Amino acid sequence: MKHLLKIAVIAAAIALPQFTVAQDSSTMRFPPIPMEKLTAKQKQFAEAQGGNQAGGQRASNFNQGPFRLYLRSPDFGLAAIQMSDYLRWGTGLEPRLVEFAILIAARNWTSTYVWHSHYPLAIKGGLDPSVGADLAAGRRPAKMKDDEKLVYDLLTQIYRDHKVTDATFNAMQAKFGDKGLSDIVAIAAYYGVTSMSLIATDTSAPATDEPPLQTLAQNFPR
Amino acid sequence: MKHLLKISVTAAVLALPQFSIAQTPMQYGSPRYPVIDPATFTPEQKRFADEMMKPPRNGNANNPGPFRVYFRSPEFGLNAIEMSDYLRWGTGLEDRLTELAIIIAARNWNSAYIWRAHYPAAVKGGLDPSVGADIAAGKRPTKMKADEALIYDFLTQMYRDKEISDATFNAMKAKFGEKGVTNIMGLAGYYGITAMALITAKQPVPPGDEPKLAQLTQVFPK
Repeated sequence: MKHLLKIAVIAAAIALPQFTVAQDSSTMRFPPIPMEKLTAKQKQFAEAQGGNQAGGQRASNFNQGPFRLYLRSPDFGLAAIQMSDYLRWGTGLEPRLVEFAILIAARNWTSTYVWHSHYPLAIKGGLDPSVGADLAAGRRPAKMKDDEKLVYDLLTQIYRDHKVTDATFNAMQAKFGDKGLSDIVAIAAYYGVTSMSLIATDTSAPATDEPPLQTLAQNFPR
Repeated sequence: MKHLLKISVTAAVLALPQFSIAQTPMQYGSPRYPVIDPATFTPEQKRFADEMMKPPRNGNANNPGPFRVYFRSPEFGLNAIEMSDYLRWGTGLEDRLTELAIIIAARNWNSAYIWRAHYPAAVKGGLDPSVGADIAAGKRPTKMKADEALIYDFLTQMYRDKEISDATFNAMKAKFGEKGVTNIMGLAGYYGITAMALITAKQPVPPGDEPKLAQLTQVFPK
């Protein structure tokens, strides 16, 4: 019940595309910290977070989403956003595939915040809407392009089986090369860190236009 | 009698070859990721190789483990080891607790390799050997110190429930501070990245006498 109440508060406060979570600060687990109260290291983090690295632009500020947690350990936070910047915008992979990998990670962690933020980016990148809908519902997507199928198979095998078959590994390597393969694993893996940060800060986001991410007994069917 | 048994178990564990991930013998390199001739390193790979060599890691770009996967995307690899270095050695958290967080992450991912490398380190840091043994068996450990129990509760709730109870969150924050909570989350999160890389690599596990991770459908009991 309390969980539903929290979601309702967040839902009432969210103004797209900013993820302004206007909860009562005194009840937030990690309240926002104004710029003037930041330590020198935190300021460095805040500035790096807001900067335009690798050609990309983050939708949220340093007091939002996972960044609100990273801010509390700014050395870690700086490492995290450097990693994020490279993986989101520096790999050379098409946004369609970067965002698809992120959505699969979001599904694994049932991270509504990551799902809500990245679903529109995946669609914009060219992912068929039914692919996201199937993924949200715990079905193997029916309308994946060949490269999407490879990414789906790789990541779902890692999550579900803790094993990647030789067939999938070889096909991924042939399609994406060693670097692309490492980058795709890394993208999903980094969004595990993001998802865990959002759990720690008790941050969720209800679905608006996108298919909702329900909690499932099995995220990825055999 | 039990005390003598505990001493002999500890002695046996501490007698295990104490190699860190960065020093896994080369014979355990994964066939999916062959050694790369240093003469062929790209400039980015060379930067990664140089970072790997620095203390306290004292490693090599061709070391078995996650590093070969990181190495194929050296810019990501540099980010990964920067994050790892801080979380493992820069936070001020005692080894006992750092390694506990890591072995809990290993249990979540069923990563025998991370477990093999870090269980001895946890015992060396002062974790009662039965704590790791219980975690491996999918049981709530009975011999945790108060701070260990907090980390156990925090991370197992994270993994199992995707939600942290107010009681656990408040106790974690009181004990470790906001920075400590962030770093403990970060440690477990970073070892998720490691685990996904190791799964992708199909990294062989060196033999050892540590209690083995049981194959379980529920890794963390309620």
